[in-house]
Amino acid sequence: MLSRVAENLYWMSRQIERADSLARLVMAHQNELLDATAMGSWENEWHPLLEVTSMGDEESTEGVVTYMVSSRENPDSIFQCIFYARENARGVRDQITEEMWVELNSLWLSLSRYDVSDPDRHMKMCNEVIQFSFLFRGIVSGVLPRTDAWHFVRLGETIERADKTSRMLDLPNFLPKPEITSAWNTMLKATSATVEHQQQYGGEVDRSSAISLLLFSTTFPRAVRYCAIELDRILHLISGTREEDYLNEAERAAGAFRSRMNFQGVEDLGRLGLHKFIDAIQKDLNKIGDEIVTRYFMIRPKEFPSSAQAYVASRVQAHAKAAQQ
Amino acid sequence: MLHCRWVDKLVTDYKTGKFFDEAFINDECELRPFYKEAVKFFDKLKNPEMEASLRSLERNFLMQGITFTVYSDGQGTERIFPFDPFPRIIPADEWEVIEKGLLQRVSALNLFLKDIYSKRQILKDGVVPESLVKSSKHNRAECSGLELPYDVYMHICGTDLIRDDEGTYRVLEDNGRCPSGVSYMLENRVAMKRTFPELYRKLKVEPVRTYPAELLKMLKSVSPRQQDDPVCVLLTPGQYNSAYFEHTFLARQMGIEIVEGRDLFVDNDRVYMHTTMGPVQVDVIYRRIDDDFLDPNFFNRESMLGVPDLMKAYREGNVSLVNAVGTGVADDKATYSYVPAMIKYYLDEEPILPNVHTYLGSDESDLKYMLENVESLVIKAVDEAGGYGMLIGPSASKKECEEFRAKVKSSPRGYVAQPVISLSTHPTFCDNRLEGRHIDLRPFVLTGEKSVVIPGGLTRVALKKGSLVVNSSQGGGSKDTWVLRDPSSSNDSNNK
Repeated sequence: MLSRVAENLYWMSRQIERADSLARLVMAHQNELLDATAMGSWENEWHPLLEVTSMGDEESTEGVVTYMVSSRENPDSIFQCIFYARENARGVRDQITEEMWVELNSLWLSLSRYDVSDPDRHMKMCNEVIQFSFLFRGIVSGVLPRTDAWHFVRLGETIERADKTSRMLDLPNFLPKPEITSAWNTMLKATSATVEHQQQYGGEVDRSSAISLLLFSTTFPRAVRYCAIELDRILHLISGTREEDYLNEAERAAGAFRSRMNFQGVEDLGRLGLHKFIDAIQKDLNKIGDEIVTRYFMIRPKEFPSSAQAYVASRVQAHAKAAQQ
Repeated sequence: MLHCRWVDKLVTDYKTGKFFDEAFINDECELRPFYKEAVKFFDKLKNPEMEASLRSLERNFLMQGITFTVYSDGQGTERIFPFDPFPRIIPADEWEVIEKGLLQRVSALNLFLKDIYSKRQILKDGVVPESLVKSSKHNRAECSGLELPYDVYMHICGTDLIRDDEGTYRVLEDNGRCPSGVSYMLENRVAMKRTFPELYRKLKVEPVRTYPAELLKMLKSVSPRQQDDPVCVLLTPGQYNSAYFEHTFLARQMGIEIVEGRDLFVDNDRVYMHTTMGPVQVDVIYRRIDDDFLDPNFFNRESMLGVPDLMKAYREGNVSLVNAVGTGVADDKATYSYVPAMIKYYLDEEPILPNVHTYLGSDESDLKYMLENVESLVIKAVDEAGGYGMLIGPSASKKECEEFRAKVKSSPRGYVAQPVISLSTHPTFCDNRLEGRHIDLRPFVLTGEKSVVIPGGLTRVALKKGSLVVNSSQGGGSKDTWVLRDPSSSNDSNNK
């Protein structure tokens, strides 16, 4: 497969997952906030979401939600993610199925048309993105041939999902103490893990059970460890190497990450602290992401003309921008 | 968009006027024999059936995204190429002449190109003026002396044919750089077969669906590397180009990669594409980019579309370009007027398909005539295509005529003129009935070791009443072109 095509498919998929994760988080947080506000304990507190998504500071309560959901200026807003996903898809229209393009294009058209005077528009947009994401993944799984196209779409989705679940677990660090219990609920809801948690750990949600599920589960598809195993598998499927071996640095980094997730558990967090542990995960994921870009999207000969060098430099910048949240 | 609705009576008062009409012999609605079946068929269709057929045709085009891009609004809007469902029908014996004429012409053009880029004998013998070739914007003297597979330069040629008042097929121009439109020929046929299978079956039409396979066969045949499965790619300027749909369509039909300039690189005079499995050497590039943009280190330095050092690899013979670099010198509108002479010079044959009489700005007496008769001539810039840079004297304003007179005066080599030729008309669905609209025909010739003419082509129709401009960018539409297989079909009148 052409590197450019693989690159477009990978970023299309990452951007969709990014929009979906953020939409889930915004909706779950809103859900908790509504009750908290009613009890008067905690007024519209959206800033923790900015912190865990590394989107920086944005003043005024109304401003924060707009900034995260529908802003045209914030390159990481849900709206902009869908815009980039669509641009990526457009460049490879002949490589994806008609259904994939039509659904993505329709979503983008719909998000562009929301009435700014509607006070509930942001929740409606989030809901639409989540529904779209289910539909889109369903189409991909139902019709896309299991060739490189499939692998690169899955790769983008999986790495982004691991990134987002891990970042979200940082939420308690940015909350006032009395709200931390409700934060675990927010996280389970944002990852559709509430039922799974009930079945595995019973009624009470606490730090230990939430972390066990969201970080270390090997069966729950949004858990970081599950994603680590998937990442490693997909990379090996692309190159055709056996999973116990590695052919390139991307596979090596993914293998190391998978091992770390396999051989650590909740009990290790006491020593390290959750925040530091999440930092380490972020580092691993960035490394894997960089190696994927180098290995698959920017294969260049030793010598090439300066215009090509300039081009590569511009792509590197673009990637750096897209990768840093 | 389909532009007509249906009424009970199809042919009421069809007027052929002073034009040659493809279907009707005269104003009394007398039909040429090979059109009888089609008119009878459409006449029998009832209103609702026809409307359903038209809707299904339209849906087909929309769903497939068969579009082209219009730049005039500054945004590059995607539009559907208007389609008229009444097929243009060409009987077998007429087609035989067209086919022979095209083969003759393409073979002369390729001999001319080989000659121009090697010995230049035709110039030395004074058959074509040297100044004409030298001054052609598309002349690529840098490409002289190359050894190309089978000595072929113009692998793909889309020659525009028209029919004059007598019904004689004439060549209007040769498109020998990157002719487009073949995807419409193929998609029109798919739509027609789906919508009117009965009529199609009855008339025994020559299939056109072999085109992608023939094209791929030709591409592979000109590979410089002799191996079983040469790597062929289609080089596109990218997703914002007006013909991007056609590029993706053809690449998909042939099962080859569609690449942009940035997907390719040159190393050690060989061309490679970046794939997820590393560099893969490319043997043949079907390029849909003009010469000027191919290589920023060789031609246009500003070009972001091309591949640096592609020309080095090409000149070393490590990659084939289809069409070859420099074919534009043969489809220059001034060179055009010498094609009949080339046919005599190289093949010692009489031209089967005549030209339209052409006045050359570079010829002193022609120039005088042109300047005196701007108002009654069609004036064309020699190096433009797509209906741009052209003036139709009789329908132009005084100011436009003066502008062109000044342009011709200041650069005579840059312009040619032709008498206004009334293109033939063809019954076309217009506002509830059939009316005559002007058409032309662009058949496609593929040349590798041998030449192949695909039986059919793109019939373009000027949908505006009285208009002679058929270009899609200027309000033209298209029709499916049905070449009949049965040689007896034109004498069909006896066995009604």
